[in-house]
Amino acid sequence: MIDAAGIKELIPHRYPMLLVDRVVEVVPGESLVAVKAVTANEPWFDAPWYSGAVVDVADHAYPPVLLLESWCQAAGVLVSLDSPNPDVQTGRVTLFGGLRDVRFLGRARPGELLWHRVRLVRAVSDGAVVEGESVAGSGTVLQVGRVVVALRPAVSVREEAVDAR
Amino acid sequence: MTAVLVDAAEPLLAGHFPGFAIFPGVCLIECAHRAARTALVRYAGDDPVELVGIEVARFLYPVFPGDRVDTEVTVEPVHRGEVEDGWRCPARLTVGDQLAAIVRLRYTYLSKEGVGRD
Repeated sequence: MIDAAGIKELIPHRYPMLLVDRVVEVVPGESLVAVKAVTANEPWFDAPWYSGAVVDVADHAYPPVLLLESWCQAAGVLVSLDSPNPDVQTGRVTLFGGLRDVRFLGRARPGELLWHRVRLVRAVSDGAVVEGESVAGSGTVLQVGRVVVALRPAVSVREEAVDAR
Repeated sequence: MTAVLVDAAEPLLAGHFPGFAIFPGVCLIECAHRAARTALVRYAGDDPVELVGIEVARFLYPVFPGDRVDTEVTVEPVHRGEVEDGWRCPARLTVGDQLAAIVRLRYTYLSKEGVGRD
């Protein structure tokens, strides 16, 4: 088991964007099961820009893109096990390279636990290809066909951005 | 076409990441989602539509505080045989001249049983 403190030693995400609470099962280089507790106290349920006509949160359904982010952070833990990356400034930035075949099959609501299952499809240079799903109280809420996680030094990302601008 | 200014004071940037704020990729997907939803009003009227999938997303260029993200989205009706089956919404997100991401989202009408009828 990896608790919240242990997760913070592996990935650089912090409040309010640390969306994985506990790792309950891990086979390094292979697979992982992580848990995230959804709570009504999360900022997205109260942010002005999230209020109004947004159907997804009208009933406090967890925003789908954050469900995906939470799953991806679980994937980030799996990918970072043998090379911890707690601080982006001295370490690397976890970036999305891309994804395909992501399906939202249901919604999670406050009080539910999300069980993220992540499987490593293959390690690539500076990253990994992963797949899996998330299960909540109502059943499977997310299927992830394929996500490419890229780990790149912050310095190079910043320099590239400055050059491009 | 919609525009979103990434405000440096946006609270979520404090945690993504400390000392190195970068607009999360999923937030770019959210930009596409909101643009698509606005565009879909013309097709679906008052009937609520639901995001049921992301067919593809590719992130080509990092987005930082102060950037303005322009999202251009189109709506393509999807048919399964004779049956109407929601929409596919390809989106291009740009910062200035740079292509930051391309995203293809999938929507259906909100079903009483919840998302993912098929």
